[in-house]
Amino acid sequence: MIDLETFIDLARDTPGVGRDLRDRENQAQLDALRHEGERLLMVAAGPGSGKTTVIVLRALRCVLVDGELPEHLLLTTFTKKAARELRTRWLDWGTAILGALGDRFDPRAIDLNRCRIDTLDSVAQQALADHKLPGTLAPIVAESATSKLMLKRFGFSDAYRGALTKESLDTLFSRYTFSGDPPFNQGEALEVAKRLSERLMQDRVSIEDYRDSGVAERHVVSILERYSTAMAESSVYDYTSLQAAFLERLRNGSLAEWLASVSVLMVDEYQDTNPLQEAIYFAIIAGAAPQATIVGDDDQAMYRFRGGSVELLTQFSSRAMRATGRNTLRLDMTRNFRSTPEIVRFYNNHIDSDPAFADARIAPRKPQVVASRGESGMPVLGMFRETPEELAAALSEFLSRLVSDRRVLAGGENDPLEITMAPGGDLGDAVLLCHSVGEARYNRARGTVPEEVETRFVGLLRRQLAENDRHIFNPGGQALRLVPSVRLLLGLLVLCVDPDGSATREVFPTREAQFFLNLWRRSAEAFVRTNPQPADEQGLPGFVARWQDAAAGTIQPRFPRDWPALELVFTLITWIPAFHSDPEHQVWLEAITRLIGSVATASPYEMKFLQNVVGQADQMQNVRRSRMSFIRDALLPIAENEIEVDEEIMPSVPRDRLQVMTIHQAKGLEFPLVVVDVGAHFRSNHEAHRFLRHPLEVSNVVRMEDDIEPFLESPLRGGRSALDRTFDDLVRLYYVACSRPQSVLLLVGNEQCLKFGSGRNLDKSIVPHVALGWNRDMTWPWRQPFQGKPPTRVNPPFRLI
Amino acid sequence: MELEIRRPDHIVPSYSLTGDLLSYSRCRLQYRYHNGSSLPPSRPVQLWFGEFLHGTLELCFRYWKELVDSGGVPPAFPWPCTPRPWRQDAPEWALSDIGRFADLVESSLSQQGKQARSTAARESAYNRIELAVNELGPHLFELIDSAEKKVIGTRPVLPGATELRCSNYEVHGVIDVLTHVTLDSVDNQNMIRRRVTERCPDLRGVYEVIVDYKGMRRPRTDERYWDEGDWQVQTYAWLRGRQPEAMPVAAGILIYINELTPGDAEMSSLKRGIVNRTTDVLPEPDSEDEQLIRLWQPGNRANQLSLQFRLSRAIRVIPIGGPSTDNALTQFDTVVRLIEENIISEASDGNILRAWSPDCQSEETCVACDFRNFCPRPAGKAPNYVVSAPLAP
Repeated sequence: MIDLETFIDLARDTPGVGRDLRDRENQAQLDALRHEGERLLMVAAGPGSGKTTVIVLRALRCVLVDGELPEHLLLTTFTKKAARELRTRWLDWGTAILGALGDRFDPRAIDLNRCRIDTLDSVAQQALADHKLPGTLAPIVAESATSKLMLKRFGFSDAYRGALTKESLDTLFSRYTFSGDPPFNQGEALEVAKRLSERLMQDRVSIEDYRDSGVAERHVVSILERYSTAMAESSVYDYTSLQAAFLERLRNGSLAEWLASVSVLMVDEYQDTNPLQEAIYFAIIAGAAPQATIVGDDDQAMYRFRGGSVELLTQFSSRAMRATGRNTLRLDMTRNFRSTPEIVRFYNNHIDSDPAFADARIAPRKPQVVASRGESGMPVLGMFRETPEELAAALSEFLSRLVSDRRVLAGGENDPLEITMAPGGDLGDAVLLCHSVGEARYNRARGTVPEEVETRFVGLLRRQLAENDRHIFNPGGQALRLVPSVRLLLGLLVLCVDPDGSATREVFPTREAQFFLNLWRRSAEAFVRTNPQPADEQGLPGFVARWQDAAAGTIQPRFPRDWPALELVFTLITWIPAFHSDPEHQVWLEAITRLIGSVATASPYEMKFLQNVVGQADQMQNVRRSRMSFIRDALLPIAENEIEVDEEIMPSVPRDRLQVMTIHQAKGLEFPLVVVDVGAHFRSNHEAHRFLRHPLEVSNVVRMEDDIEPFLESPLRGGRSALDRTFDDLVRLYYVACSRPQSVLLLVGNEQCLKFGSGRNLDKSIVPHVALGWNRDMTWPWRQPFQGKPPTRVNPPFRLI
Repeated sequence: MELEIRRPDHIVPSYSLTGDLLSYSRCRLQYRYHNGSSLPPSRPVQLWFGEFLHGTLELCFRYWKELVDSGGVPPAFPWPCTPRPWRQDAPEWALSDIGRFADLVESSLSQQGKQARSTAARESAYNRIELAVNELGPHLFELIDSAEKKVIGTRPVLPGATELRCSNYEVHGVIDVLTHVTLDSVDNQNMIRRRVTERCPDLRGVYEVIVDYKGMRRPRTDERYWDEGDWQVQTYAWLRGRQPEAMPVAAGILIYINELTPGDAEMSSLKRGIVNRTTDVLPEPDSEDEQLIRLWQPGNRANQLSLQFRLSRAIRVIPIGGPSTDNALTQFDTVVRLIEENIISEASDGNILRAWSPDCQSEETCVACDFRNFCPRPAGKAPNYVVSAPLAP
């Protein structure tokens, strides 16, 4: 072992590490590294403050200074991507420092690879697999689509079929839908049921008390219990039940051996932890008595909709004391190494300006973030236009010029601001962050208005950039059902398995689903008529015709008795080359095939098409039913927009594309130039989008939290009103967005959002928005004092371009 | 002001020895689709047999070990093997019935969408697992120190002209069985010990042996699977040797389970290997086994081959160490370098087919490939090959 001072020297002097913690600016990191003793360490780490540095150096200190073996360290974080990054830093720095130490350590005694760095889900899965109970196998974790289908088949569908049950469930579920109306269809009801049942487990509510609280609640618990029984019988877990099983085994002593192997625990992104995860961490702390560090930032909490509860961070000290008997020492890291002072001032102002937000923050309050970089001379920029189309054109022009001319002038002739691009720079150095990355929106019709698809700002930008031969990377931006080539593929599948549409009608699609199935079918029919390449043999028309014959029950000598749906998909893409070579198309193809592959386990015909059946009528029925189950279990979820793409499968994004991300996806990332869409479509103060900028009502997520609160083990969120929590989430969201850039922050939106306001109370023509300085009490500090008539627009704290 | 260039992604990628490195060696385009894009295979048949085999052997061993650890006496081999009739209720199984363990594994695989290709394939798998447990178990179980042992290590990425996203990579794998052998303390009738000492006559003292089950036939020496098996155990041995509690790894044993109940594929390959002198385990001249092999025709059963000969075919012992290990590690380092270069190429060019242009040499691989219909260069096709329209289905 080495002493701590030597280790600190090594962190400074080792090539590839080079962190001088004795530098005055790194005092907070040094304090965190030096911490030792019984107290739990809580690091409140602001954006860009070097928390990965602290976590990794502290973990290495445990090994090299304190003599812990790497296999006794457990580091968890929120996403697989974050875990990969943490592990990378651990291995790179660990290898470099061990190399610098030469033969002072036996390399066989310290195996850095054995340190556990992962998400809590993966840790739980691994622990349960490594410590299987006698006669059992490793847990099988079901994808979200599979667990949803299991919920539907083993609990939900039967319950929802009864008129009285449906009515009471609809009444309850209307509290949790986005619109506040009863679920639009069974798919939406299922989605709410899934979210609610997960929440009951994540929040560890008393199921008995919840069941007794109402008729609908009784039905919900019944659905949850039937689903849980079906899962348990198949040894299948969803992520929540996996964590629940892990907690149970930690508590019943059957993971004692695993527990004994944890002597150091570090938890990153603690602000997004849920009560079930908190219980797991406390069980580890109480059971293994490890040296424990938690790292988080309450101002960056934004996963309430997935069960995250920032209150677990703000109340950590008292909750940890109650659960583990250990005191907590809090250290604040507020020195920012990422952004220019201009950007830091902007987001400091954003988070500090609304007095009503102060009580939501950790107490005692953290100091403001302080920028370490020198002034850049580049103010925060704003680009606001009258329409989304104009805004897309202007932004496209700005970005295209930057890339092609390598410089762009902004800010007017009197005081132009120049941004240049370094050699090697490309469009990939910029990112567009949005509340929603959707490029097109389907307008669901309830009345007589026909359904239509509307292009949104990001879709307009894609078009505009394409005109300049620039491209965006946004596979999540188009609902699968709307992507042109996906529509073709899905349409070809429909044509092959259900030529006349009768099988589709028999699975009773919603009107919305039927709309899309028809859309796909029409796209595919037109495509087949073009007889695309390869067109030899009988080409695509012949191929589709053979499948249609098989669907009709005609015996086809080349057809075996069953055929996997996945193989049909892989064959059909022969005629759609973009799926072979384009990375974005791979993301879409993965989403489709993942769905088919995963629902096969819960679908009656296992996603195979039966055919060439001779004789009995019931066998012929199976030919048809196998196709119906494919349409119902694989195509309808896509038609109803239930399937999400997984962009993380991409090893890297092409450098020449503009990445588009939700603000949630951007968590933990940084870019030289960040464009934040604060409201390209907000032309008026319409109620329909108030929840995105200045809520009038409590969000459905917060409402669910409050409904469940009485059944928690101990009060958690009672100290703050539901509407305040709804506002808090928006404030935090834009805080995260604005703290991503290194050099340039560009806010884009509709110019109506900057209108000063008119009328006696200045409440006409305004578009209140927390991202643009509005307080929740409807005051707007950006409005400068005036005499006489009010100015046309406010003077915002950024430079308009 | 000048914009910074976004910090390039820097990671220590993690590669599975079998799941990544061997897959890439077979076909890089198929690897890109299955491993890079996570496209699931349409027919996970090979996955089914491999996992069925490993899972059942592990459960049988754990049952045996629990009895031994608790002071009991495990039932004598052979254990019965009663498969659950297809889609019917479970029979009354004895506790040691191999069918009971296999059923648990089969049902778990079914939950993951993995099923036998046919009832015949299922029946064959049960035959194979029965023989594997009853013929290998008596020799192997008593030597097992740990099963399903994870091994992992970091290696530097080979230098090259292209700048990559990584300077190190992690390689990991799971050793099916790790035995702990003390020469003097093991019955010299133990088949495993005999095979190891025959192949490594100078061994003394305490050492470990790595055992890996293969759900396949014994490859011929001119097939890439032959070398890959060698590289795999050499690399496992290197990884194992880095663990603090490890003892010297003396040998690796590959067990080709299909050779226990040879079928058409195994017999055809054996005959071809004998003719071409590309198989290393031959029947004794003028033996009954030799005659049976000579007379065998496709469609004949091969269960008359002696058990001793079948075991000889099934077990392959590979001495560990020295240049062999270095060679194996270099092979995998090279594969990692190639994968990482392809990733960079895709990131800069944005075209998967160009970055991962296929180079598969095995028609066997191409026939079963999900992407065969649009692959621009399948094995065995002329350079001017043009993709043609697939026929239904």
